[in-house]
Amino acid sequence: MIPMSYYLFLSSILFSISLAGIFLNRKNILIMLMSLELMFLSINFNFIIFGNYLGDLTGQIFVFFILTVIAAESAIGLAIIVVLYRNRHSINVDDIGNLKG
Amino acid sequence: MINFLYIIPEIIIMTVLSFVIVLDSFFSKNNKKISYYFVQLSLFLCSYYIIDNFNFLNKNTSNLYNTSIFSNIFKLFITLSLALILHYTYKFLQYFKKYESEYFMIALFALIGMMIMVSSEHLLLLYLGIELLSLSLYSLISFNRDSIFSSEAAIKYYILGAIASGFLLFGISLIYGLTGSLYYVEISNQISSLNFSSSEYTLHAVGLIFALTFILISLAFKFGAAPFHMWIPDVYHGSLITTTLLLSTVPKIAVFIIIIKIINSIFSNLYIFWADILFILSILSIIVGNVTAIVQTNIKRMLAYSTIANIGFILLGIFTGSIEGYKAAMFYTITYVLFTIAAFGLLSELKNGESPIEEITNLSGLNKQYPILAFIFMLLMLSFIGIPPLLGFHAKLFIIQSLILTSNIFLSIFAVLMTVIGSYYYLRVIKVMYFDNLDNKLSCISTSYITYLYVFLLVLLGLFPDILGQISYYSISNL
Repeated sequence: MIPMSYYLFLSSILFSISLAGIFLNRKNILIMLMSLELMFLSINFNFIIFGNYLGDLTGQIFVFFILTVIAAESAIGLAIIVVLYRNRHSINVDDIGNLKG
Repeated sequence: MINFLYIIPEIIIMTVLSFVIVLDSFFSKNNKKISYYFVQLSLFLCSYYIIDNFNFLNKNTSNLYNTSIFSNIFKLFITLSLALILHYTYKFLQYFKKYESEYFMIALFALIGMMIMVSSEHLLLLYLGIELLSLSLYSLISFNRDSIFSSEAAIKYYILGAIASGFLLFGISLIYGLTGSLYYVEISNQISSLNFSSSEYTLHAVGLIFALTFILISLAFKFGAAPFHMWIPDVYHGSLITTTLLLSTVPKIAVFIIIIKIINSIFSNLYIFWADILFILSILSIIVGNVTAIVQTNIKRMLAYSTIANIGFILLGIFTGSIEGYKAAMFYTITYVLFTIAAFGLLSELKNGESPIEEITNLSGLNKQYPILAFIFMLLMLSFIGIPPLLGFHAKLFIIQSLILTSNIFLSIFAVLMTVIGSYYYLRVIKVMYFDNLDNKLSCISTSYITYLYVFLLVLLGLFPDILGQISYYSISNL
């Protein structure tokens, strides 16, 4: 049997990659959305492993809730991106800088 | 046995909401404002129910959904504040011809999210409440969809808010893995059986400290405490002034309650760890907020930085970890919210030419045209500074008193010094209103009797601070 720490390493690495993807990405907001998705999936991974090792169903149920919520969240995010694109005809991260002070 | 009678306040809001959503599509364009009245009706029904069944709701023994005195007082407060906020929003949107009934429905969704946050005793419920609140706020910020600023503020808040919820979830997953439960009570029991005093920490202890850090970072994001405050000025600046009004008041109360609850009921044994985190957060917030606000020219941005500074004071109260400190922090939060509603509400009733107030200079010469409004705004600014007869003074006094009681003398001196620095930018607004030449474009969108009445009550409350002090003491001791 594979020890639990391996799985936890995997999920933390995924979490870190997604964080780096958000902060290092200077091109496109859509890539940020993908990174966010990856972040939530790595957390789901965590929940599933813990639930499995504890022999407890709560973890798996939590995952369903997270999946539903992030679906709604990405829907709103994409809607905001559409609005942004209509206003400034670009979704580049570098172009977002009107609010300063 | 789960008794649905305890969640009637939520059910009322939810029922009216579903009803209005369907009904609204049948109204003609001129009758859409009926939906707004339905929304207000639901808020008053909900608060009436809570007042009427205060003792009954308190009997709930569920360890999943808590309706104790503490959460009921806050639910009442949130509901009534939202009613006032929506009143200002309605007048503002009507005047600028931006009225959509959806705005008010989304605000009700946010209210349900906050009610769930306040009452939840289970981490899954907490997460769902926070998400319901955040999703509603994303859409409210991008409500003004023709404005570049609005959509930009929305995308910034969206990305940062999603990262914050990711951090929260990661913390929750660690807690779940280490304690095997998501109930506050069981987690607290598990943690208290661990030993943190020895110099060598076990893997369990380290994991829990990680979880604590992740959760506190996420809550600091939502609260707007200093290293995580980047979104506050941009979002306040970008959205409509009434959205700013909503954003800067009620969600802050909800997040404050979450912090108090999580710290007090889950992590009470980890005091030495979270006290350090809160210490750094509060010191940075007070410095960043007060110093950066000085150079701002946009009034929403200035109030945003003042929010950050005020949040620093609230965290300073929680940092002490004593009942006195919690009470002071709660008093401060309520005072801050009451006065911010008045300040932004008053700003939303003024206009510059055909657009809302944006810059501080837009207010110049307010005294010559509207002496009463100028006087009210001066009172609000003086309260933010902390001038004696007003409520803001008592709030700051309680915080500093709790710091001294826990022998943090230097911290209290620091707080007083920072208050003096902070008074500069509030006083500048008073100077612009009273001593600068009149800006002819300045005018008022409607009569503001409700503002007069509201500020009069606030001043009265400042003369008898014991009322609010009793309430906060009563609710904190029934946490």
